[in-house]
Amino acid sequence: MERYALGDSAAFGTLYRRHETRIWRYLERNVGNRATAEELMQEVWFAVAREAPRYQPTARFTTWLFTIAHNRMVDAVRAGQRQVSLDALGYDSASVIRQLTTQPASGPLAATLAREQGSALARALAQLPGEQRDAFLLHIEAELSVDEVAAVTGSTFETTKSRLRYARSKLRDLLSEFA
Amino acid sequence: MSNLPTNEDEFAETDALYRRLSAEDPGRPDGKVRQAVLEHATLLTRRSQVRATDEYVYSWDRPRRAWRRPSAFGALAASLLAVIIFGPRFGAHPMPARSVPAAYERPVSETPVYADIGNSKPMPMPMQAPASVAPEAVPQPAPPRERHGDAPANAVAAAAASAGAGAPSRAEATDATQAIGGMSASRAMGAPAPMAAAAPAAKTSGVNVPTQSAAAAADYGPALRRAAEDADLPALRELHDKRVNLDSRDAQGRTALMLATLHGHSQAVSALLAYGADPNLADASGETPLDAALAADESEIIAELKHNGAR
Repeated sequence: MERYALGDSAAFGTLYRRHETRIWRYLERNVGNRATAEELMQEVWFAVAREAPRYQPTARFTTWLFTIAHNRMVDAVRAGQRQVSLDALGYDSASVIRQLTTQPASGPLAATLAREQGSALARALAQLPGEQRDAFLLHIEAELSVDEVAAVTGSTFETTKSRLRYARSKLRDLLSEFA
Repeated sequence: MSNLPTNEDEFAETDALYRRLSAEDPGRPDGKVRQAVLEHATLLTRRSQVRATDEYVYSWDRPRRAWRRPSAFGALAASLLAVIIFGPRFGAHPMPARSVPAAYERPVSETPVYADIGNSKPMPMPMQAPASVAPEAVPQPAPPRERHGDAPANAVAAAAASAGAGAPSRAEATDATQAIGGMSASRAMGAPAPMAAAAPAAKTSGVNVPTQSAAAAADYGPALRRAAEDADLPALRELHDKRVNLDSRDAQGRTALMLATLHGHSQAVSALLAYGADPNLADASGETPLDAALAADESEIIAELKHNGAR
């Protein structure tokens, strides 16, 4: 980040590739819509580039990055942009689970199943309340501590910890077929 | 809260399961998103580099400007000192040598002599002035035209007349002219009444411009032209307030506007034009202020003159 702030545009490319997947998963799984997630993805990284000269490495870059992503995501949800498109995918989680357990994990079919598996994971996350899902994704995808998640989301430590426990408990039930 | 799991191992298993499933998810943003983001970042980098270049240029220029300031003050102080030391000496001459382009310098003997009457056209005068008539000292048979700024006909002549000397001789006129130019010296030496009447007219600094009653008997032409040469705007304004003749001429037929133009004083030119000076009065050689400004390539003065009807 400091290299980019000094004018090294290649450093920004490295930064983007390093965090692209995690930011993408966080946004897409929170908003549940690919188009909206792509818009947010651009907004987040545009903001990162714009704020680079003022970036102060007082905290982890990941925390700063996911704070921006969280704020953008919340704004989008509040603006009514969130569109749950999981149902539009036409997948039935039971059938996906069945296929995962019966089909070999190789070849073109495995790739298709992996996509379907990802959809099932997104479907499970979509069943969580927004605050729990957000806290869980920040904790898992961004690898933030409970304290950091609380700081990013503007919640107390206890509230965040409680949200994480509820989210994990529900996901454990929803993904039990994959265990 | 009863269904809330308390076993951290169960949570670890859930996290591991999520990570495994998530890792197998091939979902990625479209390649266009990455392209747009990286292009935007590159663009911002270029902009910041351009700004940095600008700042570098300015920072390079800043020391130069910092260097200019003391040097400008130094030059100003040196000029002021030179004026204080040598001013009275040069002031004794009606038209001291200045940095006027050589093209405008003409021998006095070859130029016609004009009376300070404010005529709009140069008066045809003999190439050699009569020995008994000095510049600025030609008595006028007719009253000056009713133009704004007209001054009394001739201060020196009036002063000489009041002294009962009849027509002034060349020596007397020269003395009077010197008294006009070197007013401070004459004052210090206790100038006689006629000189004292003419002396205030030469005061160009605006400190002691005569009152209206004194103005009636004084000739402000030299003072006006010196103020124009020196770009002494306060003096120009005060002389204008005394309703002096703005178009009075020196021995070479040059008006205050012409002198201000020759010295490149655009502010003095603007002031004189604003006060009503005629922009088309040529000097003895037929050169107008616009000609002089064009020859010196003084674009600002050219524009100002043209704006005020100069041809």
